[in-house]
Amino acid sequence: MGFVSQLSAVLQWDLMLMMVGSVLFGLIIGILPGVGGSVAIALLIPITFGLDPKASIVVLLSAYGASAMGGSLTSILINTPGDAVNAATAFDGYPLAQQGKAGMAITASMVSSVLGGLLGLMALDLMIPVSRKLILMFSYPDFFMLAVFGMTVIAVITRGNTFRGVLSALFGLLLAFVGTDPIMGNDRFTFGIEYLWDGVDLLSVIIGFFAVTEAYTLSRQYESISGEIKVKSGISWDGVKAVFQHFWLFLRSCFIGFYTGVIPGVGGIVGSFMAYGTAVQMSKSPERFGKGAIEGVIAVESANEAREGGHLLPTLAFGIPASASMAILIGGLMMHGISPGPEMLTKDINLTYFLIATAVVSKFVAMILGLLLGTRMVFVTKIRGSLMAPAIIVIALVGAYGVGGKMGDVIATAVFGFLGVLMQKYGYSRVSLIIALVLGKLVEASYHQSMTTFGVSGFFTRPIALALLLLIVGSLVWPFIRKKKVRVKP
Amino acid sequence: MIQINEKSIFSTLIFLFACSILFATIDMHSDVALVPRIVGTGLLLFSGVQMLMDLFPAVRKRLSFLESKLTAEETFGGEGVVEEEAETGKSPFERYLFFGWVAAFVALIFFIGMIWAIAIAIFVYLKWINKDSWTLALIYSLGIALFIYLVFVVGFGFYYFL
Repeated sequence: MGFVSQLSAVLQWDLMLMMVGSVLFGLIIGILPGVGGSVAIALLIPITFGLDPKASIVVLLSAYGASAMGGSLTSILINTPGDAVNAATAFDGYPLAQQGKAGMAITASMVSSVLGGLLGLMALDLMIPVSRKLILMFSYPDFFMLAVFGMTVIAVITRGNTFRGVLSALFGLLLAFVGTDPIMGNDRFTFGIEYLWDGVDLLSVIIGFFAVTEAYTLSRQYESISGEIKVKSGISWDGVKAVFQHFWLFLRSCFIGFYTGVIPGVGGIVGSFMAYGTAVQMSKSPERFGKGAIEGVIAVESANEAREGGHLLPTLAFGIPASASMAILIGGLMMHGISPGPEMLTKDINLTYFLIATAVVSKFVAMILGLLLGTRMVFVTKIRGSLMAPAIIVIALVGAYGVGGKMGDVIATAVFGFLGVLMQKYGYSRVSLIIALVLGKLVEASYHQSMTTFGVSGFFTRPIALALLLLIVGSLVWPFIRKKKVRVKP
Repeated sequence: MIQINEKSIFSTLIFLFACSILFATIDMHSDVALVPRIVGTGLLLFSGVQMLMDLFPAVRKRLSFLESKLTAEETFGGEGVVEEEAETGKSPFERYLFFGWVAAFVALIFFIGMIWAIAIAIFVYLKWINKDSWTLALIYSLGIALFIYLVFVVGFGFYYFL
């Protein structure tokens, strides 16, 4: 286990202090309905500006990991998932809370989250040597095809309209080309605006798309979403026991979470619902599910957290973000001069292990804080959204301005916030656009390098590139085939 | 019949963006322009079709297979797109009021600095947009401004916030 060597580097008092603060922030963000890990990272990136890269990793990863745990608390206590990935937790978590077993459900959720996260990260650690060998076989055409594949999969599978998903990805790609061209070094598509010479600022897009858009959604909530919540804090040993009593279910769910997490865009909701579905199908008494079966909570939460290890694999090894949160994380790492990609498995391998060690330690910190303070933090759901919205806008604009003191970044954040609201409303995919924006430069650079080194034939003769090309075609055609299949079924 | 609404204006703007990018590639060196031209042509086609569907209901009807959305059961899932919802007349007004306030906030940051802008913008939002009490508006706006001052100016030394 490579990450063990970096545990001592993480367990420094200053980093641990930052971790505790970030975990608390992540838990609160996770508890807020609809506001998930993406927003947690987007709001924290500007604050990490003054920190060194390792401290930034601690802050960002700790908050991200804790946000999913926070989301499960509200799923169980008030039947309102903090994030979409926690939706399935409410199926059995809320009935358990109604039966007076909220403490047991929360403990089982926290313990399975931590152990699931730990297993996912250990699987990631074990797969690094294999990935390193695989990545050495990759050349420019393969990277080009991989980047295109990453975009098409995400464009196609984001819920809603496939056509507009692809359109959003193309839009994001074009935005990525704004700035300085990689061949001649001249400004390109800047339309005389000096601010655009460095390209469209990824951080402003991220904050605008996620924080400002969510603030707008919250601004329309004039009532608080929960009433009085009474539940004891602390550990319920029944909850701990339940996880070990259903250990095979736990392991199976972790496996599902990890492997769905590896495929760009597929993790998250898919993993948790798949794990829940499998738990129901394989149970001897499936009729208990939906009425307060602890197995439902364990399956969903362990899959949710194991997916993080899966998500990190393509993100770190290939620089292909596996989800919106990972795209934002890449943005945050790039701000500190860390570029996820092949070098993370070779030259910067210690940094990768540090990242995994941070994620592991933060899981335990999140569990302790979640059990001790989590139920008390649910008070934030009593604050009406319309009161939180202006504060989130302040943090968003402060964050955008704080990074470089540029008014252009503040204006870009507001503009992309408005754009995000319209995209959300009219069924365009913000996630596709963000991921295309992150991958745009890789697509263009690897295309030129492929043409110079291999010519056009490189895209069709190299086995990896060819396999990826087939996958691209398959992923584009799949939704239409699936639609036809669903219609044919009686 | 032509349908001009927020949705069709939005898709028209994306189409115009694709046009302007392609137009800008005319004077560029062929190597520099190649990839943006390929992507731009794709966006031009997609956004053109989307614009026609949004502007003309007859086109939308004919191309209904593109308009059809995958439901939660049919798709792999994923984060992102929220499906369209019916709006009341109040919703667009609320949207423009909110973003009008954000624009005014940005202008205030430019003219009077971040800290004062926060205090004024939050106060205006709570008192006149949210219709909260004077006490809440005053305490909340000053509290947030003080918090940002302490964290970013005193803590991080971002003196350009003043």
